[in-house]
This record gives sequence, structure tokens and C-alpha cells, in this order.
Amino acid sequence: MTSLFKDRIEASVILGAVAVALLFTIATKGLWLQNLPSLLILTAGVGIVAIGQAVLMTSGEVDLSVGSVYAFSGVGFIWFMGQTGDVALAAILAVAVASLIGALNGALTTWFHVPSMIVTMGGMFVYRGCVYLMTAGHSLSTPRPLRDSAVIEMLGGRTAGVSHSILILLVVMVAAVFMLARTRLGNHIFSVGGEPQSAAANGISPARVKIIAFSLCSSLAALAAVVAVCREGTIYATSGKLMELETIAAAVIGGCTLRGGIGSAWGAVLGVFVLSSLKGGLMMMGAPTSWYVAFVGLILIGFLVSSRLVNGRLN
Amino acid sequence: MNLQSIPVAEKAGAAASRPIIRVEAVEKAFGAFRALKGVSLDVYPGEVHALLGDNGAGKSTLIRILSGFFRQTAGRLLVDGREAHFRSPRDATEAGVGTVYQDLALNPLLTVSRNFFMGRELTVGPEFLGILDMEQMDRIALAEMRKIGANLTDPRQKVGTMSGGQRQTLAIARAIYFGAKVLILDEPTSALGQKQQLEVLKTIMRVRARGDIAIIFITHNEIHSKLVADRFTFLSLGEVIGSGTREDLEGEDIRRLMAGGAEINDLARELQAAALGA
Amino acid sequence: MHRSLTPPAESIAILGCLGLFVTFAAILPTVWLDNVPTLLRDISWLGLIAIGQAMLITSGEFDLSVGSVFGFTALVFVLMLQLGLGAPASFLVAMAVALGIGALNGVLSWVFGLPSLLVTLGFLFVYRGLIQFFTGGFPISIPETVRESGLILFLSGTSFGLHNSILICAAVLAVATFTLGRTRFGAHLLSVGGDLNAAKACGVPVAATKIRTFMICSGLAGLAGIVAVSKLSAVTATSGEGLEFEAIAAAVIGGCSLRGGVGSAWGALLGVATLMSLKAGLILMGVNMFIYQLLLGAVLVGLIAIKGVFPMLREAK
Ligand SMILES: Nc1ncnc2c1ncn2[C@@H]1O[C@H](COP(=O)(O)OP(=O)(O)O)[C@@H](O)[C@H]1O
Ligand SMILES: [Mg+2]
Repeated sequence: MTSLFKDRIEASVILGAVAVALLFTIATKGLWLQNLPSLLILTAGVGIVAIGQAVLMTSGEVDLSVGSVYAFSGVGFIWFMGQTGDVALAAILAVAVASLIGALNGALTTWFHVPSMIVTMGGMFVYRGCVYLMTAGHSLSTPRPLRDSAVIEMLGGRTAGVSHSILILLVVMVAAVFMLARTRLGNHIFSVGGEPQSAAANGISPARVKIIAFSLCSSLAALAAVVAVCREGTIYATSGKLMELETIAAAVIGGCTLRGGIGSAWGAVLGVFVLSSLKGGLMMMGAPTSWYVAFVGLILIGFLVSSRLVNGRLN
Repeated sequence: MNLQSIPVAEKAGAAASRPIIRVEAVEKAFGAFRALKGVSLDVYPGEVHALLGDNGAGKSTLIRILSGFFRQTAGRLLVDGREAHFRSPRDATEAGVGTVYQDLALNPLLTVSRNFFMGRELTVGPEFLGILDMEQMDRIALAEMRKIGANLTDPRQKVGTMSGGQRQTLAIARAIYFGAKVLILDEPTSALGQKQQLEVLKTIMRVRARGDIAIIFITHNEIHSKLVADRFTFLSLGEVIGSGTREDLEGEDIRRLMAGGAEINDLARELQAAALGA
Repeated sequence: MHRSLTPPAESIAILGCLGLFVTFAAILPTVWLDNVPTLLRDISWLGLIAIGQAMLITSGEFDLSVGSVFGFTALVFVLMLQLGLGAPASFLVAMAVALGIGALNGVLSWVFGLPSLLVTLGFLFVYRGLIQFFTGGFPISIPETVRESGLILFLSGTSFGLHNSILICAAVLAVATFTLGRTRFGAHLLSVGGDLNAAKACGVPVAATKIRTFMICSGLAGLAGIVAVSKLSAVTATSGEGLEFEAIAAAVIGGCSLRGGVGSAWGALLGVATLMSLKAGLILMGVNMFIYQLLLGAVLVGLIAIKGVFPMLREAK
């Protein structure tokens, strides 16, 4: 038990998730449990993106543009649907474009040796600007004739009351956990995070691995957007705002560090669950959304400080 | 503890007849500055070859050429009698020149077996999926480490929890397993405590005992070099100022050459003069 | 390469702001020249922030929270005025808050050893959340009664036809340039940004230097917020949003190395002049502001690429 729990980087997020669930269930006398389905959908949306962020942070980089790429891909998905009339093709194109965006972020960061946060901050403004231009500051919706298509039903529908978003999140999570723990790519991601020189000395190209991680992160943001558009039918000019903070905070709560070399995909998903629970709880308590914004920021910092105090692992 | 009591095995005799690496009049210039001015040396299998010299003598530069980081400006490099042109560290590794760097190229956050196979992972199933063969990797890493004397039990131990000596052993075992015929150790004892230093020297002797691997041992420590080395090369300001087997060189010679060729008496006299002058 | 053959790190900013100024003056002759005083005022506001950010980047750190600190300090200033504290006292309280914020950033980064990018990202949202909470959708205004007070009149007024904020910015520029070039603190700042380990080895007080630089950065962002709100009279939920990015972009245009150790205050100010000229020109031409945002991102990314590709322009490190 102790060895299973004590040394796990996910230990605190497990505790956090349990504590939040208990707290809200007791505080609302069980009412909170009825909220769980919508809470899980909320978790699914951000969770898919957080997995990408966690993988990227494990490789030692961060992406501030995920929220803008999310919105941009949603808009792109709808635009491609209108152009091609084919939902599946449009989804593939949207994800492909996002993977190129990620590769560009990675190339700029690794080739020119600049902090990824600054590079992706540039991307954050560029793609958000594009989204505002393409939505004229409002929103875009799935073209009417395609709304009942099988692919949209498959990605955005529900089975036995369970939203497919949640199932997709689970599939992505399992795949990511396996990839990190049991594949060569995962091994390389851990290797280049934290100790890029030693990875390079062993014939692993840190640039190549990081570019792949960036690409994966952006692709997952696009996948999340495609799923959201299939479910909701609409993407807004402001969709995905705050997502960079939420995903980074979730990844950090879930065990990642900014230096890399440490990370967990399912820890990040649990991190999103904690944040979404707080968001839902604050909303139920009638608190303004500004509280949530401030809270997530505080949680990120508080968590960094406390884990620093608990052990010297975070450098 | 008496360091002198570690036995130095007799030289592997006939096996050492042909050098595995021959450095012929190698020069290296950085712009107008010549860091190496025609260095030659031979390294034989089953031998420990100590490369000695003061800071700035050019040891690291020579090592970087041997391990494929730099290309020499002039001169030849022969590996197993054939001329070698290393364009990258990878080329050198493939030709059998394994370098254990001062930082060891280990990731402290990862396990022993993952470090052992870093960049050369064993996989099962379809190649493009790259699914790791963990059991095989654990088994080999453990066995290889034990062969050269590491008392390791758990291949999933994090490298960050190992001692400096154990890490050296890991890096050396890794280089040998992946085909190093020449092992270059860049100041492996410099950052360690007494006991750990002894561990590393023991490891070096175990590798030497195999008889098929040549070891280039770079050090500042005269005692260490005398304990394990069969052959010595002294560099000073980019030139070889002395070389020979341990029989050729008397203790005094070694000390004099370590000091860059100046007689220790000269140094004493200079110091005396400086003290008086001040 | 010989020193005189290397273009100064600030050359892009010099060319950029001259080029844009001349171009817009040619395209929009009358409106452009009429707009120059406002342009200079805008330059002075963002300039204060960018000078602080440039010093911080030169010391090898980043502050992503300056936009929120700009708004939050202005908010504190206005709230204090509303409480009837009087302009000078409110100014001091607000500046103390801003400096405290900077000290907190510095302490978390250099005593706790946390990455400053993450810490300040967290605070970006903490202070923004607080601003949103207090403004709650309604702007918070400076009470009518104190608008005539001497300090606020000075901060928002003009002398010799120039906004006083320009004088303030010029004074800060002079002090910052002197500090970087001619003081021990400036030498320490450059050394910790250039090679941290070397600086440590030489006994430079790394933590103290970094913490002070964080305080300068937050303090200047706060000062900019107070100066701006004195003119605009109200704080809104979005006051200062996105300024962190404009400030970093300006610093990079102005020759700061993202790896630290190279940078100047006047370069950052020229970077600001470049960005503000671009923005003003686009506004006067009736172009959508999102195009500016898009260009801003593209300029930053493009500069990173250019600096990487042409070693001529790369920081002499
Ligand atoms: N990349 C380089 N560029 C310029 N000079 C170098 C470079 N590497 C080494 N040198 C110079 O070459 C000389 C030999 O250095 P090095 O091989 O590191 O010596 P050692 O390892 O014996 O102390 C030194 O004077 C050093 O300054
Ligand atoms: Mg050396």
C-alpha cells in the first residue's frame, strides 16, 4: 500500500480528487452526485487536451497555445465540413492541420533554443486572432445538412446515457499511459525531459522527440475540439480561453514538472477532474466565474510551493 | 588502506601486438589556436592507457576527436588498422569507440534498465509501435552490470538513488554491451569520494581482465594512473612530451611529466625565487 | 567578429519604428501627424512596462503577470481613492502592492526555486480574477471629488504640449539605462542573466539580484497602471489584458535575448514604439484589431526565427 501510494507522483491528485468528491457530496447532501455526468463531460473536454499537455511537459516543454489551437481547430473542422461535405475527412484535416501547428511550435522552440512558453504565447495570439476573424467575433455552427451524420453521432452522441466524449477521453488516456510507460517513444520522452544532453549522448534527438510531443499536444487539442463540436454543434470565438492555464495546472497537480522527465497522463486527467469539480462547486455556490479564474491560478502556485516544501523533486 | 596492494595483472602479452586505435600526428586548430600539434599514440586491447596532462593540455580535445565530436585538422585515425572518418558521435560508437563522459549521460529520474538501453531500446511486436520488451531489458541490464562487479539487485532502481561508483559502472557496462572495443573514461574518479574512487578502479581492472577491451583512462591523479595503467601518454600544450609502458617510466618521470615536463626541482626553485622576489 | 561589424541588438527596433513611422506618415499624412501626441502617450504607458520586462528578461527571467499587475495596481489605487485615502497616500499604497507582488514573484522563484514562467502564469490569473471580481462587469472609477487633486492632474496632464507620462517614461528610461550600464546592481543583473553559474561562482548575490529585478518589473507595471488610470479614470475587467505579451514582444524586438544577458531599456522602448506605431496605423486605416493581434504573434515568432537563422543578428553571447 505505502509503496503503491507514497512514491507515486499522482498521490496528491488522488487525494485531491477524493477530497473534492467527498466534500461536495457531503456539503450538498448528495445533490452533487447528480451533477456528475455533466462534470465528467466538462472533464472530458479539457482532459483530452490536458493529456497532450502532460506528455509535452514530460518532454520538458509547455504549450500556451492549446486553447487557441482548440478554438482554431474547431473553426477549421466546421469550415472543412462546409468545404468537403464529409465529416470524417474534415475531422482528419482539422487534426492534421493542428499537428502541423504543433510541429511548427516544436521546430521554433528546439531549433532556435527559446523557451517554449514564449514561442507558444505567440501562437496563442496568432490563432486566437484567426478565430476572431473567422467567426467575426461570434460563433460558427455545424452545417445543417451534416448534423445527423453518423460520424457526428459517433463522436458526439451518447450510449446508455454515457456521453461518447467520456469514452473517447478514456481511450486517449489509456493509449497515452501505455505510450509513456511501455513504448520507445515514451522512453524517449522521459529521457529528453530533464536531461536532454544525456539523451543526445545516447543517440536520441531531443529536437525530434520534442517536436513529436508538441505535435501530439496540438493534435489532441484539435481532437478535443472536434469532439466538442460534434457534441455541442457550435464553437465560439472565446472557446478554449483559459484552457492553457487549466491544462498546465492539471498537469502540474497530476505530477508533471516544468523541467520535464516526470509526468503522468492519468494524473493530469484527475487534475482536470479536481479543477472541473471546483468550477462546478463554485458555480453551485453562486460564486462569479472570476473566482474560478483566481482559484486555478492560486492552486497552480500553491501546488508548486507545497510540493517544493514536501520534497525537493521539483527543480 | 594500502592502495598499492591492488594487484595489477600481467600484461596480456601477444594479444597486444596490434594497436586497436592508432592516432597518427593528429592536429586540431580552433581558428588560429592549435590545441593539438601533432599527437600520436597507440592503444592496445587488454590494456589501460593513461592519458595525463595539465588543464588545457588537449586531453578533452583529443577525446572529442576519438569520439566523433570534432574532426581533426590534420593527421590520421586508425581503428583496427583501418582509417576512420567519424562524422558524428554515432559513427564512433558504431566503430567500437565507447566514451563514458564526465556527466555519464545518465538520466537520474529513470530506472537502471531504461538508462542502460536509452536510445537503443529493445522492442516486441511491430517495429513501428515501439513497444518495449521490459523483461528482456531488465534481465540484460542486471546481468551486464553484475559481470563487471556491480552489486545491483533491482534493475528498476532509479539511477538518481545510486552511488557515484555504481553510476560509473552502469555507464561502463552500457558502453561495453553496445560493442565498445575501446572504452574512453574522461576523469571518472575526479568527482568521487575515496571509497567510490576505489570502486571505479576495481571496475576498470575487471574490464581490463577481459583482455579484449582497450581502456583510455584520463585522469589528473598520478596515484590512480600508476595503480591501473599499463601505458602512459603525457600531453602538454597540445604535444606529447613523454610516453611509455609502466616499466619504462620511473615514478620520478611520471611526476615530472605530470608537471608539464618541468623538473620538480626547477619548480621548487621558481617558487623560491617568486617568494623572495615578493 | 569585430565589434563594429556586428549590428547592435537594437537595430531591428530602430529600423522598425522609423520605417513604420515614415510609411504611415506617407499613407495617412494628416491623421497620422495629428495622432502623434496620443501615440507618444501610448508608447509611454507600455514603455514603462516594457522597460521593466526588458530588465527582467535580461536577468534571465520572465514575468507573464505584468498585464494583470497593471490592472490590479490601478484597481488598488482607485479603491484607495474611493475609500477617501487621498491621492498621494493611495499612490504609495498601490505602489507598495505592486512592489510586494514583484517581491513575491521573486521569492517564489528564487527562494522556493520554482520556474518564474509558471509562477507568473499562475498570478496572471489570480490578479485577473481579483480584477474581474471587483469590477464585476462595471468599471470602477476615480471619484469626481479627487480628480482635481494635484497628483492625478499631474499624472494625466500635459506640459509643453506633451503628456506628462512621456516625461515619466523618459525619466525611467534614463534611470534604467544608467542602472544597467553604470551601477553594481546593473552589472550583477547582466551577469546573472548571462551565465548564472559563473555569476554564482563569482559571489554575485543571485537571489537578491533576481528578486530586486522582479520588483522593478512589477513596480513599473504598477506605475504604468496608475498613470494610465489617472488619464482614463476607470478600471475595467479587461484593463491591461494582453500587455504581458506586448511587453515581451517589444523587449524582443528591442534586442533582448530570450536567453538572458543581453538587453537594453532604450531598445525595449523602441520596440514599444514599433508596436504602437503599427497598432495606431492599423487603427487609423480601419483595420480589425484582431489583425494586429495576429501580426503581433507573427512578428514575435518571426523574430525568433530570424535571430536563429541569421547568426549576424544573433545575440553576441
Ligand atoms: N571548442 C573550442 N574552441 C576553442 N578552443 C578550445 C575549444 N576546446 C578546447 N579549446 C582549447 O584547447 C585547449 C585544450 O583544451 P582541452 O582539450 O579541454 O584540455 P584538457 O582537457 O587537457 O584540460 C585549451 O586551451 C582550450 O581553451
Ligand atoms: Mg578536460
